[in-house]
Amino acid sequence: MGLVWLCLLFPLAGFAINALLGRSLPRRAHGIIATVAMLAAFAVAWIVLADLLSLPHEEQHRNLILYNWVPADGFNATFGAWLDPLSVLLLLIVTGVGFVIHLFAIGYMAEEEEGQRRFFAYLNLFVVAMLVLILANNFMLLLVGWGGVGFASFALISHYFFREEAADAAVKAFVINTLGDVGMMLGIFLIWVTYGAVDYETVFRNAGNAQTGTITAITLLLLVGALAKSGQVPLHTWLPDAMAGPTPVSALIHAATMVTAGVYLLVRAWPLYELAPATLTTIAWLGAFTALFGALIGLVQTNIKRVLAFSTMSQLGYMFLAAGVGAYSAAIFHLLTHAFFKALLFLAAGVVIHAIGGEEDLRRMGGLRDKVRIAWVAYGIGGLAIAGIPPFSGFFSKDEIIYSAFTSTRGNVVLGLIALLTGGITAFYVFRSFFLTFYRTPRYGIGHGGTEAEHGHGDGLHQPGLEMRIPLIVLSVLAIVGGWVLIPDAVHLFEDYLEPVFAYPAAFNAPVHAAGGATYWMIAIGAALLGAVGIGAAYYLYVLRPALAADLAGRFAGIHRTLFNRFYVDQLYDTIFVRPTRAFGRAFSGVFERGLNGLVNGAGYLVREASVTMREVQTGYVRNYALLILGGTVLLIAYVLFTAV
Amino acid sequence: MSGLPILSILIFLPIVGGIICLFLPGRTDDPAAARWLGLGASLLTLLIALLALIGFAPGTSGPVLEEQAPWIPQFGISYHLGADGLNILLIALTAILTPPAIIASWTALGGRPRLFIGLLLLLEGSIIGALSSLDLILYFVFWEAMLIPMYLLISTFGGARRGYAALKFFIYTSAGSLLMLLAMLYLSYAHSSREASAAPSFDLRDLIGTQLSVAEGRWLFLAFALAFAIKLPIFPLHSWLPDAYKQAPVTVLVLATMLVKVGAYSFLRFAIPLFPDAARDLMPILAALATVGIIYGGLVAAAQRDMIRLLAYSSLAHLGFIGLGIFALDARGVQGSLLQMVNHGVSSGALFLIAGMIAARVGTFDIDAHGGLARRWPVLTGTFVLAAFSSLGLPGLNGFVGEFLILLGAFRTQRVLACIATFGVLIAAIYVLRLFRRTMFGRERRPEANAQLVSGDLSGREIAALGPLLLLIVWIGVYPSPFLRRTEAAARDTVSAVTAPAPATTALTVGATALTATAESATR
Amino acid sequence: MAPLSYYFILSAVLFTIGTIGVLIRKNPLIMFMSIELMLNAANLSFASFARARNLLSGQVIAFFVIAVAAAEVVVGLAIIVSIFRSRQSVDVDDVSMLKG
Repeated sequence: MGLVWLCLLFPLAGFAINALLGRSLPRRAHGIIATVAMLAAFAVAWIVLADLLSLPHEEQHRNLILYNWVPADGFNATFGAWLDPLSVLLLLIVTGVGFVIHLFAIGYMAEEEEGQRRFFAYLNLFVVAMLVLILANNFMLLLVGWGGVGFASFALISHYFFREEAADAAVKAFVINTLGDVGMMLGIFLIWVTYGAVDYETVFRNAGNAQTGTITAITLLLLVGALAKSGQVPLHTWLPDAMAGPTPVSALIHAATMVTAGVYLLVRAWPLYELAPATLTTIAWLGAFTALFGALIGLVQTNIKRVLAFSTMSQLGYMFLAAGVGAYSAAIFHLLTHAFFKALLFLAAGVVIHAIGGEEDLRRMGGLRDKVRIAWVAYGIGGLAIAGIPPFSGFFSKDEIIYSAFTSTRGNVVLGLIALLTGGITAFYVFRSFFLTFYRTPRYGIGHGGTEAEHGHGDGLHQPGLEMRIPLIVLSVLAIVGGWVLIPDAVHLFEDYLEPVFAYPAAFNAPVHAAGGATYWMIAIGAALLGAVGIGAAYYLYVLRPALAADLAGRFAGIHRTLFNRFYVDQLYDTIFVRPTRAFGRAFSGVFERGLNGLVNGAGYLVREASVTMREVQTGYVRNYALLILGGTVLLIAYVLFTAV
Repeated sequence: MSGLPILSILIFLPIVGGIICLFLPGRTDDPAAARWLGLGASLLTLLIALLALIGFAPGTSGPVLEEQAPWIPQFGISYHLGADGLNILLIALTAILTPPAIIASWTALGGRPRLFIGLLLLLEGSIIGALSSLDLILYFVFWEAMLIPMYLLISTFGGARRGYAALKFFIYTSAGSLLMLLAMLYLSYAHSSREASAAPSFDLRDLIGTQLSVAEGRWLFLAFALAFAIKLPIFPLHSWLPDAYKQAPVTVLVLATMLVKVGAYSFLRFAIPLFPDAARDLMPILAALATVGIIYGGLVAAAQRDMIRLLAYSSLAHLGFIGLGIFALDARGVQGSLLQMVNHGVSSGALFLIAGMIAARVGTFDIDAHGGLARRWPVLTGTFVLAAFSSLGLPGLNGFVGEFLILLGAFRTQRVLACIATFGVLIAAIYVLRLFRRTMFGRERRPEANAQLVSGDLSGREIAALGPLLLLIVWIGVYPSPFLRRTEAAARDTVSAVTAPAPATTALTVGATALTATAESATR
Repeated sequence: MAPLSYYFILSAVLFTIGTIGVLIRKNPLIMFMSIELMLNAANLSFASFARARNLLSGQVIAFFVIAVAAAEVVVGLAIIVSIFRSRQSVDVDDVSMLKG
């Protein structure tokens, strides 16, 4: 079990080598060092899993303490790992998916003139922070991982820092996530005040010893952090902009791992959430709303990475919905499959972008099916998975959520219908991007806008090398079979595996939804059919009758514009938060500061004016002084004479 | 080691070194001798300070390394020094920050190297003196003595409006201390006239527990608090700060961050133990002002165009956090504040140095005048990233631990204020990233070539100046417990002396405080 | 021996003459002499009291005053000479650098 520290150490060493010694290394070495570090961590993660599974079920939770981190008077936070099936599963996902994406990035970034060292160093650092987040054994340490991934995200979004939009996106992402951190900090303070500790063990064991109102406040404050990190409404605006980073970053951070941290937090802290029904309801509705909201916006976006970003938002909405209706294991199941198929979609998109010289606009793609065949296959598999077509992984995980939304005691028909409907929309917009990219006539022009990669040989297209193909193949396989670990009425591997997580503070028993039965299969088949309809509609509109799509967009121009501008949320925030803050700053700085300064200088001015008046007495003539002395003496004597007697 | 007067050495080594430096033979503008003398003296001081810090066992509560000698026995004034959990970190930090300041000013000595270095050393010595004095008059002497080298540094080596800024700094801060001196006299008089043992004394230990009426206590507390609040500074008494920082030579600011922290420390050392009742009653007001300072300083910082002014206002926000931790009267908050004093010295010190290094390369402090610098100077960028994110309190770096503990403590006792203050973290992210993004990111705007400017990435000397600070940033973030353990007992004692049940407070002495504290920890 | 009051009257007259001299004359040498006059008026009073009361302290103080006056003249004349050197004039109205 103690080996788990190696999982942290390897990427940390990779970061340190690249950051501190990297300058003397050749350009290719940076990526290899980082990738090897990830492979080592991934290998160790399996050993940790084996160790964990060798324990009896009811003992599958370990609190490994490395050292006392923040010992203060009456407060203590250790640096330690909380190992249970949940954290180890996430450990495997992060190191595993992280490894393949690192591998992919070697090829993707190979032609970058500068910044490779920085890129791979920060990528490793991100993994370290993400693992701290996952493994933390207390809320304060969780916050370290939480902030650390935010920082790594900032550093990687701003990889092309000389582009204004990348720099702005990085700052935006960090600031909004800091808002989430503020919520989490307050939540943690409240936890400490309520339970007298911040470590999971104490808090979860004593979860019930607090009033429902307090727990609701705690969970809502933690939720703020989760919403920000996972790009959920209303703190979602940073996620699409974050696509300004290199594509592997989008795949790793903004699809597979970091953004799922919010879901992880909700599930991690389930003993608290379970006691706060009001919060759960909020989560379920926010999740459902975000799922639909993201999917609708995704319908009309023209940047392939932004389409995927909104789909990430939407899929995370599903996970929030699942957590909100109490189907925690369904949320984690979807997290798992989503990590595979969304990373796959991003990497496939990356291959496309790479091939046509950095172009990300769907309107400037097309006809790439035979040019970059592997990307076509991979994107297709990812698309089928996200659309929930059996037997791809998304079918099992998404239907689990839709089923829970309908049938859970916390769910209801409206939530279920939103989830079901969103599934159809998802299939439509993902395949819209698929068809726009790979079908019909090419609309790309090689030779301009190639900032990410210079173009080269043959047909002018950049073919992916082996280091980019392997990740696609691995993730394609996983996107297909990844869902087979939980097939209702047949395979219960996943639920059995996670069961110790929800049995830990023995006082509670979270409702583990054993999906299955006729209702489940009815819903599942319905969802799959809806997905198929979505794909069909996309095919009709974007391959068979492209004119109709443009016509529809024109006919519903208002709706189209609203969706395209993402419901004007950014503009709204700009008006009600950003501008007033700036105005306050300027007003304080210009008016108030000057006023205060004026008061201080005014005091000095008064003194000076007084002395200017008084100095007239000083004539400089000796006789005047002598006269004053005389007068003073006379007065003094007079005083003595008339009072002392 | 125990036999040596460590604290006296720490105070007078730099002072004597500084005086020697001022009167070195040879040509006035020859920097070599002054540099090496200054570096040698400050490194020696650092070495001794670190030994003292290491020798200070975690958990120690009473003062150690005490020195006491009669000075003006007629008035009960003595030369009384001591180190405990409240000041040991700050003394060490002062010693840590001086060598980087000297190294960073290596080539920027304003043509009068002996004066510059000599004044820096005098500043260091007087700060350490103020930090370690346990006698009110001795403390006051050092407190005022700190102003002189700082005033001279600003007025001799400062920017265009140095005269104005130096005068404002000097008059503003010394005006505040006059009332404190009166309060000291009054307190000593009250002590010798009311207590059974009527010997006159200015010793802090004797004066703690002096019987005062409620009104007396409040007025005296306010007199002390005013002096400290101006120095700290607490909103709205801060208007000397931006001007003084802007006009001071930028390398001096590293030590200037310590100067202001003496104000914060003095609350813990003097104002709170001397007047516990008044402190308890009036702290909410101060805590509220500190909170206003956090938000206000942050918002104003976000509107600045000048790097130094931005950092000066960010200091106001940071010092607001430090103040809040103290005024919340919670042991966690006090520990956080003590740690945050170290953090602020380290992070802001590093940021001031970096700002100076950037300005040395592009010729201006205007953040809008240059962009895309990250491309040209990767090492500079790396150090800037670390210092900037430490300053905005990124979890995992030093600032987070301090701010977290401060807010945690405040959340227990001043919940509303803590909630407001936590948003200061968000505002910090806004202004720090604005600074970083405008200077380092974006399109590159090459300034005109100028032979006066430094070219190239950080030199070995600049890295040597920044290195220790960056190391501390990471170390305190990852492993703060050596620091926290050394402040724990002192923080607990200070707070419990104030919050202890009312009847006990009137007769409390340091010894009794320690007793109750141990009893408390035993029951816990 | 004349009554004590005579001495005081003389002392007062001398003092007044000295005072008026300091106030109205512009030549520093004359002013100095006036100051000497005032000092000696005071000395006269001291000596008279000492004699009348049969106490030594008054005489002692008179000696002190003489010593101080001598010292003062040394310093004062030095100042006057240096002013004369730099300005070629000893008119006190020309020397008004203390004017605020």
